[in-house]
Amino acid sequence: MTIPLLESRPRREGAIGAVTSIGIEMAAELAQNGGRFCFDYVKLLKAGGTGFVTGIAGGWVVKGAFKLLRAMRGLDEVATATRIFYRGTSKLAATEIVENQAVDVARIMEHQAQAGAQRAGVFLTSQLETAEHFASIPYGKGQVLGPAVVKIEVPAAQFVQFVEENGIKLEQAISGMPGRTETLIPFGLMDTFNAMAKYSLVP
Amino acid sequence: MYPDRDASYVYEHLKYFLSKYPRLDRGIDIAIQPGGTAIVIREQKILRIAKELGHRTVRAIVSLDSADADVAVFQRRTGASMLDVSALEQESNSAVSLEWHVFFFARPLTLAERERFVQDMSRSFEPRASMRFKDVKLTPLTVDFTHDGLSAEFEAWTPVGEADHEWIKAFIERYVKFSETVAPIVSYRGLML
Repeated sequence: MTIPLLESRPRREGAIGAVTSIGIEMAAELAQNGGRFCFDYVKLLKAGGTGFVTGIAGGWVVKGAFKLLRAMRGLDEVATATRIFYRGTSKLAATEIVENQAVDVARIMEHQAQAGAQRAGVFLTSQLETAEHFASIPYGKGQVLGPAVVKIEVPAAQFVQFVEENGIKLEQAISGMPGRTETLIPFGLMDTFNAMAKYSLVP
Repeated sequence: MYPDRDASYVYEHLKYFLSKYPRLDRGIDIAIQPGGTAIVIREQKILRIAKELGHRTVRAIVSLDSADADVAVFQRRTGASMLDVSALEQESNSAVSLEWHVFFFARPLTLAERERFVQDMSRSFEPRASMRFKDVKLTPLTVDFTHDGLSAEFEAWTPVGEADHEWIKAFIERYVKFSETVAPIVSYRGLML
């Protein structure tokens, strides 16, 4: 599929003169709306577009274009940014995760099934201290070499898209623990998550 | 030895918690240098605690960067034995384990606060608190307030492994709430709150 160039369409007042290298979804949306674009940041990220807008005409279009350019500047920042999560586990499991650059889903599935876990999947959190406490309880005594925390870095733009497409509830508040949050990645999505994640040991 | 960059623990509190066990199972991370010299790259505090508590051995994970030949020299020189990884993994397969829980507070607890602490903690260790307690004969918690009331400690059957996320969450919620509404907790098992 090729990226449609809006300048090849009939011009209307308020339409964008030319769009280059913008994502397919975004370009199509702009084309359909003929300048009545009220895109938002997330949609732009979903489109994965990069590019610039030229040949703007019309007062309100210029305003819209500013929005687009501002969003694109944000996109540049997000494109290079990473989002950081932590996972509390055992030292042995943490070492294996880092060595394999993947979470061993089979083992977690088995353990959760045995315990009749209410929610299945791989838990992550954006707070280091939350991960440390979650690791300290089951492994504090020293089982499997004791507690450890894995740092997980994911490309922010790719992660936003992953969350959006899969309906993942991002960083839900943990009841009774103000300021502490968790994200549950379903087992079935862990291959995709592993592919984008970079795992390292903390500290 | 590299400096320990882990500032999450109160060293003396962690040491006290680990002193409750006759064996030290927590591990350290080492890298073996050319010539078979070991450098501790993580968990330096655990090695220090092991020495101070008089343990003769400590478990360690050898960094993958270490050359096999250097590891072999290290083993010959120190008499270190290889751990069986599959046996290690079995350690996380138990549903419950008899565990020590040690809390240090910012100030000594009053009698009323002690009662409240026992009540709150007991809720996490009653039969209905976890499916994992179904095959365990639970007894009421016996909480000792030590260090002139600055700490509380008890031994209890505890869900272990990663499976019982909801129990862990409820337990953390209880002690965080106690810390915020009754008396500030400085550390749990040495880990700062």
